[in-house]
Amino acid sequence: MANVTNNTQDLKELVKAKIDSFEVEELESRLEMEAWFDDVNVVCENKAAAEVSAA
Amino acid sequence: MNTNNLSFDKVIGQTKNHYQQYINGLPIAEDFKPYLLDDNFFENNPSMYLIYPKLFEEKFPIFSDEKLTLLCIAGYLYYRSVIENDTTLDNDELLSKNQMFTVVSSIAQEESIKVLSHLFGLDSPFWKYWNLRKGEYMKGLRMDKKYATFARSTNDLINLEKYEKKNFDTEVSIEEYEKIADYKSAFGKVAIDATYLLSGQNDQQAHQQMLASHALFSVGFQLMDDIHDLKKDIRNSQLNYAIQCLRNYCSNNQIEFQNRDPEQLHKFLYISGVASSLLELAINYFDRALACIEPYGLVLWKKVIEDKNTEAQKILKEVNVYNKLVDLRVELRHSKQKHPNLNFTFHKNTTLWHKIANDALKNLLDEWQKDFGEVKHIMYLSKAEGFTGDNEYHIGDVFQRALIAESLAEVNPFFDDQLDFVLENEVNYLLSRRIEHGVGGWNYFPSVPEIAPDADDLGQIIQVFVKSNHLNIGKEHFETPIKVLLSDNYKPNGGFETWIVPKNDQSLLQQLQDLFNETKWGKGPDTEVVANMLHGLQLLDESAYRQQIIAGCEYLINQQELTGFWKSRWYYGPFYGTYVTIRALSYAGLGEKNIQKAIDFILSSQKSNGGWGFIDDKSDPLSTALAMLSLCFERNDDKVKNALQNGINYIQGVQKADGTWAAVKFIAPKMNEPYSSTTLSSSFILKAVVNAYRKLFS
Repeated sequence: MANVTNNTQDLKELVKAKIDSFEVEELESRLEMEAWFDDVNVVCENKAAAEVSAA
Repeated sequence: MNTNNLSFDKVIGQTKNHYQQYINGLPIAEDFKPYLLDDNFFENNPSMYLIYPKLFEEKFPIFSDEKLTLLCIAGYLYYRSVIENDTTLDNDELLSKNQMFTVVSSIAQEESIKVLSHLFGLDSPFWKYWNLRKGEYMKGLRMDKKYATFARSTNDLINLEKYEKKNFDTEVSIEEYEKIADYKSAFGKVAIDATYLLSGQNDQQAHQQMLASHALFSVGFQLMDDIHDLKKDIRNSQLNYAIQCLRNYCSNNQIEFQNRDPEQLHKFLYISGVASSLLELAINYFDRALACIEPYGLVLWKKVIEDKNTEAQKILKEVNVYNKLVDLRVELRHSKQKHPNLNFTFHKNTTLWHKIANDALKNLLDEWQKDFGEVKHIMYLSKAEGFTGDNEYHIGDVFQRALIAESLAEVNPFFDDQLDFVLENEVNYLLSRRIEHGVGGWNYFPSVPEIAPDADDLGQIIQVFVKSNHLNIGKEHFETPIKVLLSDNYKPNGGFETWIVPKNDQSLLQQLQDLFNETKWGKGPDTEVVANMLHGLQLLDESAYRQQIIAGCEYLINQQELTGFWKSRWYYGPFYGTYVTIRALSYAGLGEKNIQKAIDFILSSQKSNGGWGFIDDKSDPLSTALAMLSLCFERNDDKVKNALQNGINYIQGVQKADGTWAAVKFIAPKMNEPYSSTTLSSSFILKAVVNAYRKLFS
C-alpha cells in the first residue's frame, strides 16, 4: 500500500478512506460463506443420479 | 486402536461419550458435574483436545483402548483446568464474580493427575517429562507477560505514543515467539510423551520429530489466533505478534497511529497487508509441521494440521479478495468529477419536507457529478466457482442507476423540470449498457457472461424511460425481451421467471446462463421482480398487457404473507417487496383488501422513534423511506398523516452532518454479501418525501 503514493498526505488520506470503507463484519461474513462450486457439484451429482435412475 | 479406519468426527464422538461416562461416574458432588460436562465448553474450544493422545498413537501404539481412553480423559481434564485458569487470570471481574471457575479447575486438575498416576505409577519416567512440560508452560507464561504488547487501558483508546516509549526495548523476535508458542502448548506435548512411553518403543527420532511438528503447528495456530484476537489482546494486555508487526509497518511507512482505537487497528491490520503476510507465515509453519511427520503416517494429527492450513488459506484468499474490493470501492468513491456543475435552484421553502428533499437531491447530484462511484456494486466472481469472465472482479451499476433515475424522474416536476439534463444523460447511459446480442435487455453485471438479462432490470429501465419521457428512444429495445419473458418464461400461476432466457434454440451462452440460474442464482418467479416488471408493463402499455397484468397481480396476491407483507428474494427486509407489490396492485386497481392488509402491516410496524427497520428491531432510513412510499398508496389520509410526519421526523433525526444518510443492507445477490449504498438511501428518501408531500399537501 505504501507504494501507491509517495506523498505522506495522500497516503494518510488513502489510509483513512480505506479504513472508512473496510467493514470487519463484512469480511467475517465472507469468511463464513460456503463456496458456490460445492453447490454446483451437488446439483451435477444429483442430475447424474437422476439420469442413471431414469435410465 | 486402528485410527485409520475411523473418521475424525467419529473418534471425537466416541471419546466424548467416554469422557461423559467418566465424569458422571465420579464420586464428586453432583453440583460440579454440569460444569465439567458443559456443552458450551465443548462447542467453544477445538474438539481435537478431546482426543489429543489419539492424534499421535498411530506411531506409538498403546494396544489398550482402556488406557488410551483414560489418557484422553486425563488430557482433556487438564486442558480444561488450564483454560479455566487462563480465563480467570485474564479477567479479574470474572474471578471475583464467580469462584466456581477456580473450584472446577482444581477438580479437573486433580482428576487428571489421578488418572495419570493410575496409568504410569509414581516412579515412571513419565513424571520427568511431565515436570519438564510444566516448567516449559510456566516459562511460556512468564515470557508472554514480559512481551505484553500494551499497557492495560481503562478505555478503548490506545495511546501509541506511550506504547512506543514503553515497549520499544521489549519487542519479541520470531525465534522468541516460536519458543513462547511452543512452551504455552507444552501440556499438549505430554500426549506425545505419554504415548511414546506407553508404547514401549524407543524411537527417539520419531518422538523428537513429532515434538517438532507440534511446536511448528503451535506457532501457526498462535499466529492465526493473534490476527483473530487482536482487539481482545489489546484490551487484555496480551502478547500479540500481529500488533507488533503492524506497529513496525506503520513505523517503516511513516504512518502515524496515535490514539487509534482497536477497531481501526484491526481494520488496518488487514488493509496494510500485515494480516496476509502473517497468514502466509502461518501456512509456512503448517507446511513444515506436516513435513516433520511425513514418515510416520499419523492420519489424525495430519488432519488437524491440514484443516488449520486450509482454514488459513481460505482466510488469506478472502482477505486478499476483500482488500481488492475495498481498493476498488475507494477508487470509485474518490473518482474525480465527470459531469459539469449544474446551475440548479433548490426550494427556498423552509418546511421540513422541502429541506429533506433538497438535501437528498443534493446528495444525488453530487454523486452524479462523480459518475455515481458510490453506488457501483463490486463483486468477486471467481474462475474457481465456474465464472469465465476475463476479470474476476465485476462492477455493476445499471440497476442502481435505473432506480436513481426513476426517483429523479418522479421528482423532476417538483423541481420545475430542472433535472431534464441529468435524466437525458442517465437514459443514454442505460442505453449504452444494453446487451446487444441474444434477446437483448439488461443484466446486473454486464461483464459476467453467465448472468442472463433479467426482468428486474428490464422493468426498472422501462419505468425510467416512461417517467422521463424517453420512451421514443427505448421502446424498440424492450420488445424482444418482453416477448421472450412473457412466452418462454411465463408460469401458469401468472408469475414469470426473473431470468430472460429463451426456452428453445438456446445459444451456448444461454445454455450456460441456464445452468448458472439453476445452480447459483436460483430459478422460479420472485415476487418483487414480478411486481417491478408488472409496473413497467403498466406504464409502457397497460391495455396491451392487461391480461398478463391481471394474472400477475393474482400471482402477487397469492404470495402475500399472513401478516400482510411480501417477502423478497433479492432484497433485505420486508419493505422493498411490499412497496413494489402495493404499487403494482394499486396501479392495476386490484387486491384492494390485500393493499389494506399491507398498509396495516406497515402502520403497525412503525417504531416508537417514527422509523421502520428490520435489523435488530432498529429503524433505518432506507426501510423508513420504503415504508413511507407504501403509505402513499393509502387512500385514507388521516390514517397515514401522523405516520408520514413521524417518518420524516425520524429521517431528519438520523441525517448525518454531511447531509447524507446511512447505507443500509438492500440488495442480496449472494448469501453473506449484502449490497448497500448511501446514495440509494438518499434516492428512496427523495422519492418518499416528495410523494408524501404531494399526498399530504397537494
